[in-house]
Amino acid sequence: MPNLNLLAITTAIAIGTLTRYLLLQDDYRNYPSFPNGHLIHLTVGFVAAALGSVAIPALLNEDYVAVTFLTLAIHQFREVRKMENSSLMNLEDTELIPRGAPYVDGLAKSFEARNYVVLLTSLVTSSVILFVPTFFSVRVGLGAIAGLLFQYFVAHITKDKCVGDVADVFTAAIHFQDSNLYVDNIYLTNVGLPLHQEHILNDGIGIIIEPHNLAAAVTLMNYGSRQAIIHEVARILGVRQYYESRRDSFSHRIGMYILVVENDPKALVQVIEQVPLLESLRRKKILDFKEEQ
Amino acid sequence: MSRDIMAIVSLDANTIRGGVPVFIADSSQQQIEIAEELGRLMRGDVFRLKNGMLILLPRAER
Repeated sequence: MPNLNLLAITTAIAIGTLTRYLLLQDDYRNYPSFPNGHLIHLTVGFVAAALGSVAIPALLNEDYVAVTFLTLAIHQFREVRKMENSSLMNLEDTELIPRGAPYVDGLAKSFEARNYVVLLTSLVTSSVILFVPTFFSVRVGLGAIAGLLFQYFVAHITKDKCVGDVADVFTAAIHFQDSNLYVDNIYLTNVGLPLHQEHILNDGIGIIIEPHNLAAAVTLMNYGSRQAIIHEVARILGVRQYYESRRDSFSHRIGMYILVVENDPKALVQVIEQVPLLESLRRKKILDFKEEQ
Repeated sequence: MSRDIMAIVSLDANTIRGGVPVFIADSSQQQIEIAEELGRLMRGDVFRLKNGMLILLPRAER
C-alpha cells in the first residue's frame, strides 16, 4: 500500500513544477530567455513546489517547525525578484531603448509572484490528496485537477492588462507645418533638415493612442508607460534613428511617430496593443469612481 | 531637463549677439549642409526657427 504522504508530496511537486512551466510560456517578448533563463526559473519553481507540497504533511505529522520553511521560501522568492531586477537593470545601459525602471520592476515582481502561485498550487494539490477520503488513484486525480484549476484561476486574475484593453491604438497621418511635425493634430517635434523631413514622411508611421477613460489616460500619461511601449516596438520591429511621442493635454491622446526597421503599420499597432500596463503605474479606483458619479 | 544650444547656423550675421558658436552661411542650401554636418559631428538634433535660423541642441536622451 503506497504511503499517502509520499504520494501527496510527489504529485504536488509534479503539478507545481508543471504550473511553473505553464507560467513560463514563451511570449512574443521572448523573456525569460531560452534555455538558461527557463532552466533557472524551472529549478526555482521545482523548489517552490517542494516547499509547498511538504507543508500540510508536516503539519499532520505534528512537525510544526517544518512550516517555518515557508518563511525561507518567501526569502528565497524575494531573492528571485532582486536577481531579476538587478539582471535587467544591468542590461539597461546596452539596450538601444531601455525598458525603464517601472517596466523592470513589474517584470521582477511578476517573477516573484509566479513562485508564490507555484507554492500555493502545490499546497492545494497536496491538501486535496490528503483530505479527500477516497481511493488513492482518485485522490491523485482530484488533487491534480484541483491544483491545475487553482493555477488557471490565479494566473487569470493576476494576468496583466494590456494597452489595447484600455485604449484604442490606430495609425494616423504624419504631416509638417513649416518645420513642425504633427501626427493628426498633435504636435510632436521640430525637424529642421529637409532630408530628415523627407525620411519621416516617406518611412515614418504615425500612431495615436486614445485612452478609453480618465484612469487609462492617467496610466498612459506616465513616462514609464510610453517608455515600455517604445522599448517593445524596438525589440520586436526594430527602431531606426527617429521616434518621438507626446501627449495632447486636452484630449489625453498620445501621438507618436516612429521609423521602424520592419515597416508594417498593422504589426506596429498590434505590438503596441499587447504592451502590458505596468502594475506600479496603473490607476483605477478613484478615477473610475469619479467617472461613475 | 535643459538642453543648451550647441550652435546656430544663420544666413544673417547681424541678428546674432554671441554666447553660442554661430556659423554664417551664404545660402539656404549651405545653411542646411552646415547644420547637417554639425548635427552629425556633435550628435545633435537640428531645429528650424520661424525666422529661418537653424539651431543645434544635444540629442534628447530617450
